[in-house]
Amino acid sequence: MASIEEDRHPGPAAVAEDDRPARPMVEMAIGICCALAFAGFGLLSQQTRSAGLATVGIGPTFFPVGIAIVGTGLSLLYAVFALLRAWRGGLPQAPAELAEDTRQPFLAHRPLAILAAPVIWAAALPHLGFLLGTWAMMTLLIILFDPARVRAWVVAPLVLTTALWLIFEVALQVRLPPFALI
Amino acid sequence: MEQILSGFAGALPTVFSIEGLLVIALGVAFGVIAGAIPGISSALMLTLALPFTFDMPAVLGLSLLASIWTGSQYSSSIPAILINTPASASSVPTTIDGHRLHQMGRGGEALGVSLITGFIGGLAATVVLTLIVIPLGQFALVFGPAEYLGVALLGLAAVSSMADRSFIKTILSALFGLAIATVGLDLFTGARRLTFGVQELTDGIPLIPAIVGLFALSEVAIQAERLRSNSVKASGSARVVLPSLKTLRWLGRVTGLSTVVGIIVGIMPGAGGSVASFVAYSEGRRIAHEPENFGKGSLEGVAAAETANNAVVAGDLAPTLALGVPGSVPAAIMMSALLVDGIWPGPMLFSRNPEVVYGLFVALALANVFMVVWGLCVQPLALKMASIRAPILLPSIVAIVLAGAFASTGSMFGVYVAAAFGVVGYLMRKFDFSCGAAVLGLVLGPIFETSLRRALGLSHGDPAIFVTQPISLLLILVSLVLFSMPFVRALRRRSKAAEA
Repeated sequence: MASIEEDRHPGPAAVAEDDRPARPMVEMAIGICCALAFAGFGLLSQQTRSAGLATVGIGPTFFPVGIAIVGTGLSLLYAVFALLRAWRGGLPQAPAELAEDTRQPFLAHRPLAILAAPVIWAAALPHLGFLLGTWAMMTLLIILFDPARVRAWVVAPLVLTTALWLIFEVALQVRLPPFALI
Repeated sequence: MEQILSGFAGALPTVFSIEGLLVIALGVAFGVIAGAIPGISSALMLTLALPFTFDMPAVLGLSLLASIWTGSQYSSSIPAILINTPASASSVPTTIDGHRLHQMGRGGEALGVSLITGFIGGLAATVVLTLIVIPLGQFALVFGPAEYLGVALLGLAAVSSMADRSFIKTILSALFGLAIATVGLDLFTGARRLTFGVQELTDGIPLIPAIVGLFALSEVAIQAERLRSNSVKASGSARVVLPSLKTLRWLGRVTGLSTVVGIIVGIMPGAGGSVASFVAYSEGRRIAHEPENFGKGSLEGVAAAETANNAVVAGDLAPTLALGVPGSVPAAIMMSALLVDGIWPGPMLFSRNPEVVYGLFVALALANVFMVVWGLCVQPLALKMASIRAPILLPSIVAIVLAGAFASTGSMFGVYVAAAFGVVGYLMRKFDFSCGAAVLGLVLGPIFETSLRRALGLSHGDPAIFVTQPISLLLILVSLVLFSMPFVRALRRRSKAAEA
């Protein structure tokens, strides 16, 4: 069961993340990954589909290719800096709490649920409709975060889903997907 | 002057009637409430309200639209500060310092500063607009593509204020935003860039879902992760704290400059609130009392962004009224309301229908006053909502932003974009990249590229066009100084350390 401390909204602790020590080898890998991503972007942008119109001045690939070149160069520079840092300072052993901090996100089910929720919501909405789909998503997320408080996962999704439907569909006249299972 | 006075004399009875005051108060209330929901743009709100103006006198119809615009322009800062979710691109710079302040337990102060400096910016810009609207409108014509490039560069120079752990990573984040901004139809040749056959990508990456994903979803994912750890503590913000006179005097320098930036960027067609707030944030740091606190929770940072964001409304109306050139979608909707009443904007508007123009100015000033009143009502409520227990608050934020992403595009495409950018934003945060810098690139990318290509087209490929125009040269020089500031500071620190 979640403790009182866990239940509260995150506060000053969030600021403390900047105090993490540098990780030269990880940073070097990040630099190389970024360089590859920018280079890939540059190559892809050269496959621009022309509309057959004459190009006046610089063409449509000039800007994206320029960004790709600068991005790749800077990323490689970053990787080199990280390598130099590792070379000069050796490869320090990360403290236990840092090791936990860097590993945790990829094992944690809660952030994964949050990031997957929009895709599942979007896929389900055309069938379930906005009211049922949003209610179901919110209920599942609240159960995942705080399974002990039954009242919270019954009342909150109902109130918020209805409020959102009233704001968007009724007040702002945004056409939300209707229930379409039948 | 005589024209101004006669215009006011004709407008005051209508604006200060019970009907007029009610229209402005309700307009601001609608703007403040709907504007705080991510995904609901000023343009959407004005479009919804437009049919209601058809049966109203022109002054009241314009007052309603201007009030909604003023209210929504301000309230996008509320979710930016409290849940790190800017409701529009113009509030992205506010998240940088505003949310940090909230995390430090000073969210109430940030909300107070955003409200009061927004009021000051909006009111000051309205006064300036009233006095020099015609020359101000004509000033818009001075800006050519080279000058636009200078302004875009000045906005991009804000990355120097966003660099937290690594300057290179912040620049890479901005480059990522610039790269994403190139997706879609090329306006010069009609070529499709990086659309991969997806029809929806032809219009480019939709801004609101991208911002919602980068900021809100990634923030919620990070907070959800922290729910496991014992390091999670409650925020100390319990109530809204309005800035004292002493604080306002201290913020005066930044507020004054940001008002000027807001007006100037506002009169430039196509620039808008997002460019103004980024440029003001960047420039504000240069003259701030504590520039070192920018990006770490600075009231001056919040004031800089929010003052300019609110000053833009009046600035945007200058070319719309004086030249008939609307600088943004909300301004175009206001112009259409004028046209429906058979009133043509342009220099003749001031002699033919002075009561309409000066009535609008009075309504704008009143809307800023009502903005403070409604802001004081809404902010404590928002602060209370932000302190709801995390297991309920976090799923609620997800539901709100997804509904907003859907509404902004009218299809599931917006939700999928938000989801994709949520994952990207989460990874960026985990590896200390700057989501703010990415949005900066995304917002300024189209202006930067368009003005660069247009200017080079005009000069037949000669880059000297950027340095032969005095305004462009000045803007580029200031941008270079701002870009180099982190290096200069690092060198100074190093030399001081060597001396010690």
